[in-house]
Amino acid sequence: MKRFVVPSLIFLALLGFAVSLLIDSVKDQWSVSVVGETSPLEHPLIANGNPVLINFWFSTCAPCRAEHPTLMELAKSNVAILGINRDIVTEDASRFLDELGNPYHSVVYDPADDISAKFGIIGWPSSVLVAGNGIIQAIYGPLIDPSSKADMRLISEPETLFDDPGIEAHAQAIFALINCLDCDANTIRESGGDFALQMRKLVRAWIETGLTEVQIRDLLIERYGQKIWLDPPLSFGVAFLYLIPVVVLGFGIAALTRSGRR
Amino acid sequence: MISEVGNFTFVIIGALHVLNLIVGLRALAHPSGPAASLQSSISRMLVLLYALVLISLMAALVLNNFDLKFVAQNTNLATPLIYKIVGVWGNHEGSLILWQFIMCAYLAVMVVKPAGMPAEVHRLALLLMGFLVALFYGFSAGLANPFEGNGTIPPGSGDLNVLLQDVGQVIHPPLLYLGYTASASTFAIAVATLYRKNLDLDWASWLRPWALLSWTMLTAGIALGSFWAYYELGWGGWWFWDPVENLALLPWILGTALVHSLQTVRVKKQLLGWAMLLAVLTFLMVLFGTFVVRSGLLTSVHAFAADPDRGLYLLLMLVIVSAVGLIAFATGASRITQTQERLRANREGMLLLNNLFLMTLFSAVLAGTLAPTIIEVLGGDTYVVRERFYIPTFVYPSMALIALMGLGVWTRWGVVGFKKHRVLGATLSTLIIVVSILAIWAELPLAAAFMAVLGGWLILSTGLAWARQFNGAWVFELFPLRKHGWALAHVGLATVFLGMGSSVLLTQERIFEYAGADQKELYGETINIRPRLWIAGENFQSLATAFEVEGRGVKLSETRLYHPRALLMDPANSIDDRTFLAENARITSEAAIFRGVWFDTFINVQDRAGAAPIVTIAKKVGVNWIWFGAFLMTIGGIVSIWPARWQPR
Repeated sequence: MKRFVVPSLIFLALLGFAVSLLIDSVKDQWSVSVVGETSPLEHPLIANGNPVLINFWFSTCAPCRAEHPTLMELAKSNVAILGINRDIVTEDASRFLDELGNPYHSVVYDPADDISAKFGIIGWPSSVLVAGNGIIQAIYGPLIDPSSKADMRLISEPETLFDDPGIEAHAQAIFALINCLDCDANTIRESGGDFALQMRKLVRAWIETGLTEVQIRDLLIERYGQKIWLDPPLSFGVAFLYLIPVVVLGFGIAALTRSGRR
Repeated sequence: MISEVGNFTFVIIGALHVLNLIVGLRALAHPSGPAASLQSSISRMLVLLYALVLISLMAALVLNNFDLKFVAQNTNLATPLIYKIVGVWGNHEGSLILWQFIMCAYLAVMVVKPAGMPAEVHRLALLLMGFLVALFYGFSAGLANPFEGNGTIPPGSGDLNVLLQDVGQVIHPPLLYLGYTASASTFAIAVATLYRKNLDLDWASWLRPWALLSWTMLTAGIALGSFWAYYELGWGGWWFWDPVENLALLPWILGTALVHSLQTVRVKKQLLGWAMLLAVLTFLMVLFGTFVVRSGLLTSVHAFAADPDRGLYLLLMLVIVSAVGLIAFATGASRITQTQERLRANREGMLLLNNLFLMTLFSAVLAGTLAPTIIEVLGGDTYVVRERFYIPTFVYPSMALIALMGLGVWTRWGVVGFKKHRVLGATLSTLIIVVSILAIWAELPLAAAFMAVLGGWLILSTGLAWARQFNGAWVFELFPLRKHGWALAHVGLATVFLGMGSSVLLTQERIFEYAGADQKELYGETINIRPRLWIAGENFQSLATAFEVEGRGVKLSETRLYHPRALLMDPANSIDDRTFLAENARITSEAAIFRGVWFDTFINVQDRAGAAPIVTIAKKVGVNWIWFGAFLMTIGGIVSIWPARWQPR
């Protein structure tokens, strides 16, 4: 019986490794979200300190036409809009803009879908909000329903503090737990950058709708991964971390009480 | 011209390092031969040459010698003179040169043989120290050479990191490097001793000055960094659990354990192996920190740019030095003979417990710092831990340490039992119970309440034990100063805890949007807010808001823009001039701080794009006690360094 133990353990380890590889590859295939990562597209507008909305569209797409007014509205704010157009004939795109107005700071033609593939875009229109530090903040579908229109207003409006000092203090306490991705390990409370600003506005809106700290945490972690939240919720890895000093203390006590008996 | 001199000197230094190792090996075989005296003169020569290299780097920066990459990256024509000079150690390449200079200075001091040290141990220690500096030199010469020519960087595009353009930069890095490198001396002496057959020697006295020097300088350096961050980083905190802060804390904790264990070694001839292990590990921890920071493994406000080659070299260096140290320990420790007594309520017992809790703190900081890396390597999602992790794993164990400190000073070597144990035990347990009930009832942060109250208790307990030492004869008992070191250090640490606890417990904060000139009644003070105005600095333009606290004068809170174009800006512009921000101007914010013994009135104005700035007015209670406490600790360390019997030869 004993001689099977080691081989079967090795086998199990290999199996686990293979399964984890498999899960990873499946994740790569299906998780198209690049939220929380650096923008794969380089452009003078991106990572220059101001937020950019990258809008993926083409002229014969009906929902693109439908969301256009929202973009026109947003263009009045300080958010620059970068258009990624997949029309084969560029004149079609120009005609579309002549007819409905041009909200774009500039338009990049991408007929072969090279750029949209990098962002994992599988439907049109889509919009990607890139914060001033080049980190992808959110991905949106067609900007036609009330909630995405509200999101766009959130992006363009300035941050306003809560009137109630108690709620404001609560908001500040939450800000101090949210990692400002890519700005020297600061939190969004301390950072003066654009990513932090956009995040604060988002979290303020969530607090206003009555979400609790735990709900906000879970929403953010779902969107950006664990690294967004300082002091993560309890998981296997975190428990392991807490155990380290406990084990050291335990071993120390055991060693001290055992030693010297000889 | 000046850079050619520096470069030439730097090459000569390389040759001297090689020569030093050859001569060192020779001196090992013939400790009293001519090689030994040559080794001494080489080490002195190295100090001079490194000083020359540092001066030439400063001169290159001051004279805008942009054909060096180092200069083009770290300065421009507008950089103020002082930040050109101290800019030498504000970057990767230059800071390594300062590091080597200090190590060579220590090497030159180590040439003087302490009393009782056998010649072969002395020579081996010198050889090891020379080897360690040479390793750092190899790193500098190969991967971080400050004399590398400038290929592509346009002159005027570089600058000293604007966060570092502050008086803190003059002294904070050198203090830390003085501390880090002193542990290299401890390492060299410990390893040299461990390779000896007979270990029945007074090696604790040889290690003690270096261990204390390292501890003292690290204390001062870490505290100064905290003091600097408080006013520079804009949000008025004094500790951030930033990875690089933690990496400085790790050797400090080990150093604290080492300094205390060496006492047990000297007095009771116990804990010999353990003290040796600590002496080896402290420097390994320093090397580990160097590796992590300079390879860019972790993100931090302190991090240097990531570079895989540098990481590889430093990792290799860490492996080699660890092998040297740990093999020496493994072979040497088996030759150590000692009788370990049982854990009892005497001085040596208390010091054992002190070690136990320090190691707990050490493991907590190590785990928390490396958490993102460990979990990522294990395949998990990366994350960062802060207070919520460190309060149960670091703050509470350190409370146990405070209790031990307060009780420990009332014990004696080899005598079981506390003096005054009833009074001490009764006050301590009463305080713990009362604080727990009060804090839970009033919903205060429990950990902070303990820090403040136990800190206060420790000041009393230490103070009373200290007063007994004077025996009523105040003036005549003052000297030698050395015997007050422990009390200053302990009272200092207690003050640090008192300050930290009070600041968390009692600090109040009010946040509002800036709405022009205004008057606020806050914390019993009248604060006048003045209109904002542009002020031109030497190499920045700042949008300043003046605050007047009645009876405490006027202070500015500034948002500084460091950019060549900032100096030409129309003062009428607002700060969210978009084209300006688009050019990646670097921005720092400076808080207006009205300092006071009991509390600081801390005011910060944070600019935001497209909206009124946010004003934070905070009453920060007890923050200055933190740094005053650290100052006491440093003084305590300094007066203790000088050995009782200092007989050169």
